[in-house]
Amino acid sequence: MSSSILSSLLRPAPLFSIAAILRLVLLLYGTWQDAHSAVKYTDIDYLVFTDAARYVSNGLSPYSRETYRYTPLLAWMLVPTAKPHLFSFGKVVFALADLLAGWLIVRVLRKQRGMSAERAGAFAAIWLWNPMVATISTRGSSEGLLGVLTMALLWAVEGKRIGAAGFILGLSVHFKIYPFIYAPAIIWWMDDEHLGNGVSKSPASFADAVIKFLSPQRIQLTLISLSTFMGLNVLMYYIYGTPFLTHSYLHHVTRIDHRHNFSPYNIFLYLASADPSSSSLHAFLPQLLLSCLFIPFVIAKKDLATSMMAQTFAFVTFNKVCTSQYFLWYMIFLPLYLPGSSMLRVPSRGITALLLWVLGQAAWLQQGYELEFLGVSTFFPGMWLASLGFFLINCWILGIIISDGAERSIQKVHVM
Amino acid sequence: MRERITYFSPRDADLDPNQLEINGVKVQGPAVEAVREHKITLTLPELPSEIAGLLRDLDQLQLRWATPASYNTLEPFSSRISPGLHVSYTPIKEDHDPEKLCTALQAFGRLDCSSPDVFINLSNGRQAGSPALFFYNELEKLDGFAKRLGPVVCSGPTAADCRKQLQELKDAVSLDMSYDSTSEAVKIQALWPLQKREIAVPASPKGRTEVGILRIGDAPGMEAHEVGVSGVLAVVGETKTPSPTMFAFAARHRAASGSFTSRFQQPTGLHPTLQLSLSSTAPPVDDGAECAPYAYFTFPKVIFADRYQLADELFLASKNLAAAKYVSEPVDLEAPAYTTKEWGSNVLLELAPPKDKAAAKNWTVEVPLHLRYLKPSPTGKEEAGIPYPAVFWACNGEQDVGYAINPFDRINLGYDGLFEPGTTFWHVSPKPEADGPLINNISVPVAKEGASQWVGVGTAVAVGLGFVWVLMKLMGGYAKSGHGTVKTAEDKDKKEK
Repeated sequence: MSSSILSSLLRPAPLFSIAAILRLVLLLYGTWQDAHSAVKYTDIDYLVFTDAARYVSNGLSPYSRETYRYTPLLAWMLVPTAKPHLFSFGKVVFALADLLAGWLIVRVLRKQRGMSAERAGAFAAIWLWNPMVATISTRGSSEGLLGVLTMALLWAVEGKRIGAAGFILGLSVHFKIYPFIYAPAIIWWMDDEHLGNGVSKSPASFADAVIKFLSPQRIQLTLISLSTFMGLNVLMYYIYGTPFLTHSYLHHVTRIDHRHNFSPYNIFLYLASADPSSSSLHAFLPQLLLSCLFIPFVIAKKDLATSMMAQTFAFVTFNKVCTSQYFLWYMIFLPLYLPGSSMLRVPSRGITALLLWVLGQAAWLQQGYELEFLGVSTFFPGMWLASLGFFLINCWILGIIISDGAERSIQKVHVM
Repeated sequence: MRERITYFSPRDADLDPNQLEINGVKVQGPAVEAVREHKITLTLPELPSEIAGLLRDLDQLQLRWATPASYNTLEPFSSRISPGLHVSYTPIKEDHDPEKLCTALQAFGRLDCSSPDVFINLSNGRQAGSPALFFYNELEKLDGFAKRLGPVVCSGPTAADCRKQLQELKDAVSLDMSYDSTSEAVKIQALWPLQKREIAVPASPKGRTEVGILRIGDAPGMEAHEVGVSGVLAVVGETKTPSPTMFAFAARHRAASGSFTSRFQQPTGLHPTLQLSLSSTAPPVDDGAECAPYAYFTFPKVIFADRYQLADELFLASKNLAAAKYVSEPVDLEAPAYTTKEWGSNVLLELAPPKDKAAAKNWTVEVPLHLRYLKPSPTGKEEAGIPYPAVFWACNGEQDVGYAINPFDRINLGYDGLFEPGTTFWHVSPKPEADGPLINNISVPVAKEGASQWVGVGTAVAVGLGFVWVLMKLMGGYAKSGHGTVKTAEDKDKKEK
């Protein structure tokens, strides 16, 4: 009885209505709290975006706002928020982006995985009904936009919409840099078998193999994504000049990341930043090797979605900075990875992974609380050990995702 | 060179001009409760050539120092600034290198001011004529300054007397030195606090010395907003008998009743709250002038206020604040102290007194602040001292008040340029916490120095382990199924057929 009620809620109309109502309630609650309490619901970043949007609407540069480190596209998109009564416009956009991402998840699951509506709805609910996702977007954080962009990218690639995929890839990288890790996975995936060109003979020589690899579709994707990315950059540079480059891109190279966060490198970077002779660029190496090379090489052709999930997970886990908003970057792929994964097949494994992930964060947050609010110097050893513990937990989880991905063969619905 | 020494007593002071002994070399009198001000005016040629050369590059220069010790004073010497050394100047050429100025400033002690980036630009939103660049450094005492200055300015047969006078700076509570290119004159003003002191002024070997022995008193025809003064004036070596005087002037800086205390709310964490407790809610005047209380902060770079956080009205109201009227620029909201070049920042906050004045006699204002990361230390803690702010009621007045007539006027204190020219500042006197200095100490958590050897190795080992673990999983997957598509049993069957 109850299971049938639940499964009826997972049909598209109730699924999206509940997701929309959840966000609407949070949005209204947030507006109320902001108006009545000195403690604000709205994320500080949202004030940065809206300030930047106000500058843009007055014909000024969004970089006039300190700490605006995003593409001007975001500020342009939020120009309506410059009008006081449309302050929440951006949050509505972010919430709609969540819903659109959820719709894409359902579509990929149904059309490209052949899942039933209820089953697809159940997995999409992990994203759509996720209170963390809904809260982040209604508080006005733009990370949800990345969710819709990466899911649209997967949808376009798996649907063999090469032009759309190239455009979305270029746009996403312009937006937030990190989606460049998906480029090698997509290129690798785009073989004849996946594109439905019919299985051809194995290449005779190395030169043949190279020529075969440089297929028109791969070249098309590369050219479209590169020209979208560079086109947007040139446009923004033309309009806003050096501040665009400094704040959107160079900042991420030169920042010293000394403030406490989940990253395993954090305390090391703080100590290193106090010593001007040191450099920490080698921290990029394990991160890039895993997320751009090894993981896509082994997994992308087997299951592109799981590869993208594992790549993102590796990127966030090995990153020099890591805050909880980054977790959203890989959460979007959960509904695609989980069906058939060992986390669900062996529930104890899934539950252990979830518990450890939560506990690892809780241990770190406890140390962070003592430092931030009580002024206790927990940098060493407490917070350092907590961040390493959380890192190792994440590596263990990443190992499970990779093993699952390596064994995966997603059901193909297209007819050869 | 001209000198002016003023003894300034309260209204009820016991002061009899007949007891003054005036002769060719000195003016002497019995001990009296008084503030003492010593003002010296010099022209450029009278200065050592290096200093004169340094000043010729500047349009104006102001050095101001205030003691961290708590002291009593009298109107019109009631203006306050945060304890420490405040340097502001305007160079004649825009590309002026502050190096020479900084070298000269080392007379006060070790000051980190050699880079032009240390100075902050003041030009936004201030009255015309305000100085362009500003630098602050904590400075507890003038002892070192007096000692180092001796050999430079004291020479000839009167060197010993000169040094003795310089030694008196040890007890001064405030020292101002200002120069401007229009008058080409350097004015030095030192102030000693209100206490019982003997009247003793020797003749200056180099110039004229004027002595004023004054007290607060009503002058005929004086207006309500004016300060009245009566007493005697004399010129050492010229006057035989003191000449009585009585005058009144409008003072820019007045003394408000009550006091305030500043302290950090415990625990401080990384986002400390500074609490200002004021003992009086009532504006100083009741004559229709619009008055509001303000606090002007001088924050060394370890601590800062976030201008964006101080923009929300509800948030401000919950802290008993009305508005952040001014925050100096630039203030990096993220950088650690060791990569921040500016000395720090200034903030002017308008405070919001309680509406119900009868109910609350004391009221508290909370100022939300943020700490920057500091370099690791052996203990995992680093102590920082944050000077008390200047707290005052600013009351608007007519534009053309003749404040400049006031012989004891003081301008360019940092905050006055942010108000309309006719504004009167009613200063609330600072009261230290438990008889300490007017400095709020705060302990900043930092990483322990000894951590670095462990952190370097430990992080590398953990990242290495994690990396190898993930790599092994990848190799395991690769060994099982290669890098291509997984062939299902069905696929294999097809192939075999």
